[in-house]
Amino acid sequence: MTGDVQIQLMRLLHGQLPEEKARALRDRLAREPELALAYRRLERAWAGLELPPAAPAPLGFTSRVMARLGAGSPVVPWSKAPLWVRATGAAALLAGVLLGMGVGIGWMPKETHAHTGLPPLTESYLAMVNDSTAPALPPAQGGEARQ
Amino acid sequence: MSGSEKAAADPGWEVLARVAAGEVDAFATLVEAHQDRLLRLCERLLGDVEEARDAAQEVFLRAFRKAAEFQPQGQVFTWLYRIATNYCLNKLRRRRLVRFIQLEGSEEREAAPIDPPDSAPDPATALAARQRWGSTRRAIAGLPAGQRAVLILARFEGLSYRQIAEVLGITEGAVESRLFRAMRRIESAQELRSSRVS
Repeated sequence: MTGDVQIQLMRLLHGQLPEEKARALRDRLAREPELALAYRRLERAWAGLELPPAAPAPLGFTSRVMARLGAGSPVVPWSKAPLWVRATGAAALLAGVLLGMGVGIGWMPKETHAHTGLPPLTESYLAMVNDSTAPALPPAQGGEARQ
Repeated sequence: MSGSEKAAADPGWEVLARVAAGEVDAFATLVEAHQDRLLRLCERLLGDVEEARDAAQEVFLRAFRKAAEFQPQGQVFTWLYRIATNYCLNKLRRRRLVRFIQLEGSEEREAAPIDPPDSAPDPATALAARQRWGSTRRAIAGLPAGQRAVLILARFEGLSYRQIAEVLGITEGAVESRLFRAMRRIESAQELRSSRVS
């Protein structure tokens, strides 16, 4: 018997099979003793699972839960926060970014050579590219020197 | 009735909406309505009444904290079951060894304190019932956590495969596969026990 048929038997037992399929399987059960035996075994195993009735909630259970909640309130996710909260948050974020950019730009030295004694990098690079008398780059290791 | 109509018809969602709007006391209604079934589920999963009470409290606290994120889909109890199952399975996985595994092989301890007082007409019937409960506990304790959850939700909570899939966040195919494997183990255990007795 395939696992698929056994799963169908289990679905039949649990009332989880569509009526048409259930009828077809019941017909097979009436004709096939081996299948009927497997079904009975499953039925017995299922019925044999027994546990005592659970105890009801102890007295004062709700009060204890509510006491533990205390003054706490549910955390509202960002998407469900009121519009003014989201607008304020977005404005604060934007202000932070702009402030950060402003501070960064303010700190950036305009003339690098004023601090290092060297010309600004861009000017240095352009000068080197345009200067045909500049020394050639050393050849890369293991490769041929460029012309 | 469609799923969304069911969701709309479940008054629990309205209560949750009130809680999310800051009406904390409304949560008591939800606790009152669902405490028995949540305690029962936690007890089945954890196998211990005291632990189940702590777990159920924790589940309600988590539900309260998540109230603002709720999506009214399905029914409130399946949403609570999802929180409870995740919590209990994590607890089981953390401690690795469930308490009722320790009961294995001990006839005396089969009559565990969590069993309710005898209501059977005669002592022999009461004893037989306790033995069946003990066997079931041991059989369930021998299952991997995922199979255990599916079996408990199907057998003792009476949930459909679709509801179980919703609670556990898995497909219906995965539900039937886990249940099938769980039943194979249970059948084998029952056959082994019968052969020992005979």
